[in-house]
Amino acid sequence: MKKYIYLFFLMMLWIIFTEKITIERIVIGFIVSIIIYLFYKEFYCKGSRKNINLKTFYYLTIYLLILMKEIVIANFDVAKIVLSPRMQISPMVVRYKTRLKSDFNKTILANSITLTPGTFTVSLEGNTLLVHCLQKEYMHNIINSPLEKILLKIEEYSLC
Amino acid sequence: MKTFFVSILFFGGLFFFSVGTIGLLRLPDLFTRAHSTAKCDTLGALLCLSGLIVYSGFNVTSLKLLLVIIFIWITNPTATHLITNAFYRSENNENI
Repeated sequence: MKKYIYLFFLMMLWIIFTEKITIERIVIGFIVSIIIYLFYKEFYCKGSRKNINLKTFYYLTIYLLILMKEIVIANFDVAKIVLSPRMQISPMVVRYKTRLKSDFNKTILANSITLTPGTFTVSLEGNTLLVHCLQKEYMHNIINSPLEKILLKIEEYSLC
Repeated sequence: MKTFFVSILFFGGLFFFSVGTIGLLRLPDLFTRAHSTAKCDTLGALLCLSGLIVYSGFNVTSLKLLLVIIFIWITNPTATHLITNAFYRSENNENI
């Protein structure tokens, strides 16, 4: 079942790339997506997991909206810091332990920390994230971040 | 009317790109410079590309531009992370 969803996703990408729908293009796309599936079968995330359900999608949309909000706010903050005549920066590196378990969710958290300007992940070893902040105030935002709570909720219900 | 919206979006995007460049020139070391360059790609590229999406209207081209935004948002944090991670390790004399 999972395999067909993956193949369908690849076919949709192919159709977006080629613009027109004719029989030969669809046949070529089908062959190409089967080849890609065979190559990347091992990297495709493994392990026992429950099915995808509606709650996961609900939390994912909330996650995306909160992420957008955080990105816009943080962008304006960093723009203010850069453009002010005396830059008040206090760069520091923080060690932060996550409660997330799966590698996939940890990667999502690290990537979204990097996407919000003012903070980025330097390294991720085991449970510890090494986060670099532009100002001391951003540290508190990371420690009490709403993003991690939503990811914990997703982990209860979710796929991987 | 459409041109108006497109120009607003483009001015926003170009503003963030220019702020990122000013930050690249002003900030002291590599870590803080990475902060300002990461900012260009998140909101600057998002605003510029969404301006192009509004300009082209709803067709296949705008779907492709949406894909470009998604790929930029996936690859940008990865690149920033790799550059800073390499710098951090070379400062602490660890082997990669």
